[in-house]
Amino acid sequence: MPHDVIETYLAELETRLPAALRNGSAVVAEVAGSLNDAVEDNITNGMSRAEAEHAAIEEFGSPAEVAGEFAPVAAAAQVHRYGLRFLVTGPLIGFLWLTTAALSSADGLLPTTELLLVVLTLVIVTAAGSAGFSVLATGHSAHWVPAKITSALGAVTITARCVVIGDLVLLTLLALHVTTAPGAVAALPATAATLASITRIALAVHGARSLRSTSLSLR
Amino acid sequence: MRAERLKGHLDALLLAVLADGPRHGYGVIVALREGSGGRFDLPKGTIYPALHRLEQAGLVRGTWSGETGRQRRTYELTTDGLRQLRAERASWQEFSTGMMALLENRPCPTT
Repeated sequence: MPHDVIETYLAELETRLPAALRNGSAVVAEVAGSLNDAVEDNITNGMSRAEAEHAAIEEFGSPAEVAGEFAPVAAAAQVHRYGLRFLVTGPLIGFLWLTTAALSSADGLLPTTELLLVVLTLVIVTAAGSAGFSVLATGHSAHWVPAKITSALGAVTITARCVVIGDLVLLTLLALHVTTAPGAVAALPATAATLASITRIALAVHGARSLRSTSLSLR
Repeated sequence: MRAERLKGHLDALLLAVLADGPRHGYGVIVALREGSGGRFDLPKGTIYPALHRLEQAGLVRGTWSGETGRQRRTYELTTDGLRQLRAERASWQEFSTGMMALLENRPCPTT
């Protein structure tokens, strides 16, 4: 079977490519094309097909080495995806909570509310800043914002943690308000905002776990 | 030349070999080898991750093409890539001028 060596190589590469690399099969197809070109070149230079295939693979590097080189590429793509998700969902969920606040009565608000609002503001500013940095450092503007992939990864992890804290603060504020003045809360936007925040907490927790495993793969 | 020594300069070398026009991955590998008179023969597996990294950074654009009956991904410089290449050339020129002056023990031209 003339192509066994190449096919075995490609199959191993596919299993070793980082899971965060969404276009893994496209990468394998690209590498396959390159190996075939190298094999043809080697045959033209006088090698037998078997020799040409072995030489092409030798020159390419082991699947583990190639997959390892793709780890930072996959990490950057993953950081970019999460950063964008947080940047897009932030204003949408913020709008739902602001609508809830605007349509609800302020009667019965506790003094602790002010402290929670200060915490919330700090969390939002930190989350937006770190998400913005992670997106800029991993996208098309990366050459303007030179940063190590580990820094971008750390930034988006901070965003994920801030998002969880921020949503928990908002849900706590709502719970306090509902408890002290049950009729003062606008039910419809409050329900929508609650569902959106719970969904985002789930996304952030999943994201933080996934980013942690990516971070370990870069070491 | 040892691959580790070249790695820090790989991005600039890839931008340089794409300056003449679009090339597919293997074409980039061949251009690196031939353009350096055979001195720069990097492990070929390192070229693709680097090309993908440059694409993420918006410095090159990759597109699939199948002109010869085989699917290939072709890379070309973007406007930002061309700008980055000019900056890399200027920076390298300055670096090599200083290095050569020191290595050959001759006065360094002032900028």
